[in-house]
Amino acid sequence: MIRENIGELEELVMLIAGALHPEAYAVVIRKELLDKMNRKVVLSSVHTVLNRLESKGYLISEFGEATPERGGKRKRYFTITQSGLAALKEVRNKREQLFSDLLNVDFKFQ
Amino acid sequence: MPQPPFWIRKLLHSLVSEELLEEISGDLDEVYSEIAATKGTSRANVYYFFEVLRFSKMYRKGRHYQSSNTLSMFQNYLKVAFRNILKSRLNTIINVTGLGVGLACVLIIFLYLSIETGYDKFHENGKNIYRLQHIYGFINAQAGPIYEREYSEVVASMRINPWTRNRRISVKDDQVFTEDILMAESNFFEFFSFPLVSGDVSKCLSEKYSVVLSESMNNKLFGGGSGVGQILKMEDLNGEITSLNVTGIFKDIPYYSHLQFEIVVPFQLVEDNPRMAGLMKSWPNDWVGTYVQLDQKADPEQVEAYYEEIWRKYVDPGDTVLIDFMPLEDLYLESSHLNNDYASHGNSEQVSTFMAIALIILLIASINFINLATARANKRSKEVGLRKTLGAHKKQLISQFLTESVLVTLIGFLVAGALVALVIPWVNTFAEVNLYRSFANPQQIIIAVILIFLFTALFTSIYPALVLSSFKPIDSLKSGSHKQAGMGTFRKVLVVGQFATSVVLIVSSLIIYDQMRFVKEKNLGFDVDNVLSFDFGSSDKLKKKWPVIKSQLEETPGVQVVANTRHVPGDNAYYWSYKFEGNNDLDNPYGDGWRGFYIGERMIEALDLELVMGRSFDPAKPMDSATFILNESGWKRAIEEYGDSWEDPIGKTIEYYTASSGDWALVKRGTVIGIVKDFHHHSLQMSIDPIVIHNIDGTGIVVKVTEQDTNKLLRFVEDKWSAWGAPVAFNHEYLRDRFNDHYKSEDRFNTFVLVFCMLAIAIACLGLYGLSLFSTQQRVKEIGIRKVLGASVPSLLKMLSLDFLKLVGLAIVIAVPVSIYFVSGWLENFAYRVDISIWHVFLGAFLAVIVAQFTISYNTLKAAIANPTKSLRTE
Repeated sequence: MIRENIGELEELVMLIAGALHPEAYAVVIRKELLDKMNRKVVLSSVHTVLNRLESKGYLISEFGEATPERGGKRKRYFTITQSGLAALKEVRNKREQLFSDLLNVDFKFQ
Repeated sequence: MPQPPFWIRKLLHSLVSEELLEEISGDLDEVYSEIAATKGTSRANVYYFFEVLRFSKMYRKGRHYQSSNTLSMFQNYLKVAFRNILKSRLNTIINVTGLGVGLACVLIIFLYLSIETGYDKFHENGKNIYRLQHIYGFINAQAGPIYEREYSEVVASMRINPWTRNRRISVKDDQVFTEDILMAESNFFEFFSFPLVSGDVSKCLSEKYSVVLSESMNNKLFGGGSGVGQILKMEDLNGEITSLNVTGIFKDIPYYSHLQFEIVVPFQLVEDNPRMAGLMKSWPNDWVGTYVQLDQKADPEQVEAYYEEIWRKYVDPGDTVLIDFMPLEDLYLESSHLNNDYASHGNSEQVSTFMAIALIILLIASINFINLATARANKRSKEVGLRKTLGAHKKQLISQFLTESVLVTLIGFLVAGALVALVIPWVNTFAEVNLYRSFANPQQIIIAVILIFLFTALFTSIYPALVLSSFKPIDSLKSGSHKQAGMGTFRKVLVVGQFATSVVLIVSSLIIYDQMRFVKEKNLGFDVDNVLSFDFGSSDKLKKKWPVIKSQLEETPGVQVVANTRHVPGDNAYYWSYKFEGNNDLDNPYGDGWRGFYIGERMIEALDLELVMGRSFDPAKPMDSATFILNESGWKRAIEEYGDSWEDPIGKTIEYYTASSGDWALVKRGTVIGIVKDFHHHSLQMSIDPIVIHNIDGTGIVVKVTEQDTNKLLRFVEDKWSAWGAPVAFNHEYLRDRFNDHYKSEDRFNTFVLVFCMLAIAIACLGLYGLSLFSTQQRVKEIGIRKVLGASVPSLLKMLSLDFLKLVGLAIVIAVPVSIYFVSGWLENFAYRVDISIWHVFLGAFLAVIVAQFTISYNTLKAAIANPTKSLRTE
């Protein structure tokens, strides 16, 4: 299986979408990015990333119930898929591998 | 809760595809209300707007269903267009040259027009300001104040006296300048919007002895510093000096003002002058420029008509005198017909003629384009057929051909721009205009260029695009179908129209040229060569010095006649009132009144006027100052109107009345001593009036010399000028120049019309050349077969040319009456004009045929003499 590369923003969005389950939709993801990671991202970029991840099969989405708070317009909730979770884990594993390699180096900082 | 503006929402709806809309607009609304709550609505609006743009980029409508190829198709159109432009080089050259030259003409004309129509538009109240005028650009001193006093519609009035010219002014005694001075009422700077650099708009002219200078005049008089508060001395013609206090400085007057001045002094100076009291009160005496500002709601025609009431109330209850209210903003172009004016003028007829020419040139160049495009249509028909077979919509094909036309038009425009940049300096020198002035208003030019571009691009491309895109694929792909081999009817119509226009231009050019020559060669009725005139400034001073001046001049070698005069031919003869023997009423000085021409001693001899009977004024007879001479037209009029006794005019009395001092008064009663042959006392464009010639001392010295001595004489007079005590600066004028000046602008205009006509004809020929090239190429095989079967070269030439010559013949038939109609209208402007003869028409038609034949002959000849083996070889 050819693994698709996951970008940094994609990784963050996927992590947040997974963590906020089942309440993950674009606006709250954007807000989380700002609050937790201090990353200012425009809404359309969040949408782009979400759609890209969905087309890669890492996320799936479905429309929720209509709520009065946004004029009856339905939200689109995103859920992480199994392959998405696997991809995240793999990214983490590789990264930890690299990190442990790094720690093995004996730095001589002055 | 705040909502984003409706139009942005609308934009979102129209840009983003529907199945995403709900989610996106919901999300956006949420963020919007959050930002609106924390940072304010306007920030939120901006955010919302940009988000909409970003989203629309990602989720454009329809994108998910079909991949749009508009952009890539457009790239393809451009590529194909470039290939075509390169492939049919000759065609491209014809189109680009034609369009380029045509558009260059149009742009030059536009620049000129934008200058000519841009006068006097900067006054704040300009829309409501009118000038009072009838036969002159000025009027009596009473009308303005009475209008303001008696009619509530008149908000303000303002009078000027523009006649104080060539006055000696000085700041220091050793530095004297000669300048023109404008006298204006104290509300001048409030009334008009000439901005002041220093001084008070409402007060700078309210003190009687004040003066306001232009910035450059201030610099000239006071070096670099401001002259405000300093004293300026102004000398009048009698040598009296008035000290004036500089109270303000105004910005230099822009060229686009009909009123040009550098020094303004209060009108009060004339008003309070006891010698002017009579003139101030006189009604029939026109000498003051008067402007009124009307209430916005007032009807200018109605206010204009009040003048009749005024005249009846103050002057003559039984008389009617009408005046015109000339809108300030139209004054420059619309009052060039006046008998005399202090204002500078353009000519509205010239402006409309140039507009018409610009349009004609643009049409001719565009028709070329249309013709060539449609003529080449069936070369493209296979491409169209193939594109259609592969699924191209008609719309797409139209946009393809539009792209091509726009591209060629664009190249034409670039060529035109380069041409304009190249010829502007030349046009400037030749036409004595400054076309660069129009660049002061760049947005106007940009808008015009865009409009001209759009017009040309659309006009040239729509018809060919429609024709090309409507080919049926089955016809165009079927081999050997050449339905369009000949010339389409529409194209024929265009060619006829184009050539008819050219013939009109040729015939008109011929007649214009003839008329110009006629005017130049027409006998003026007097001798203009080697006659010099000098304006002494003051007739009193001249009179005192006259014996000295006269004898000194007469002793100068080469001098033939020394004369004194008030009028020189080309000046305006004055209207005053006369009572001829046999007639008891004073005639009306307006309308068809008599004009008086005022000359002094020996002037008849200096001009070499021919006496029909009687004698000339004799300086040796002092009683001759009370005598009159009539011109022949005047004599004829006298016989017609005042009875047959005038058949023998010598010794008959004429009474001469003026209103200089207020009321009509008898100034002079005298007898007629002679009749002179008619001469052109003013420009040739006007007919010769019946005139009464007076013997009156004037300010002019007129000297007739032999040719080689004119320069010597000039130097002599210049040396003596101050010794003679002339109160004005040395000046001189050749009588011939003065007459040439009258025609110079007319001449220049006609030359330009001729040049533009030639260019238009050349562009038309270019089109004809392209068309003939194309149609002979179409018939190459036919010609080859004809030759093989024994056709001779002349018969082939005849066959090929006849197609075109038929069209040209038809064009001539249409053009002749049209051109006669237009040119006779133009000739009406001249009192003395050439007759339109059959020769003009014949020559014009002949030239058109020759030009057309010459244009197509290269192509037809080439086709006719070509070796048939070449044309028939490939099949």
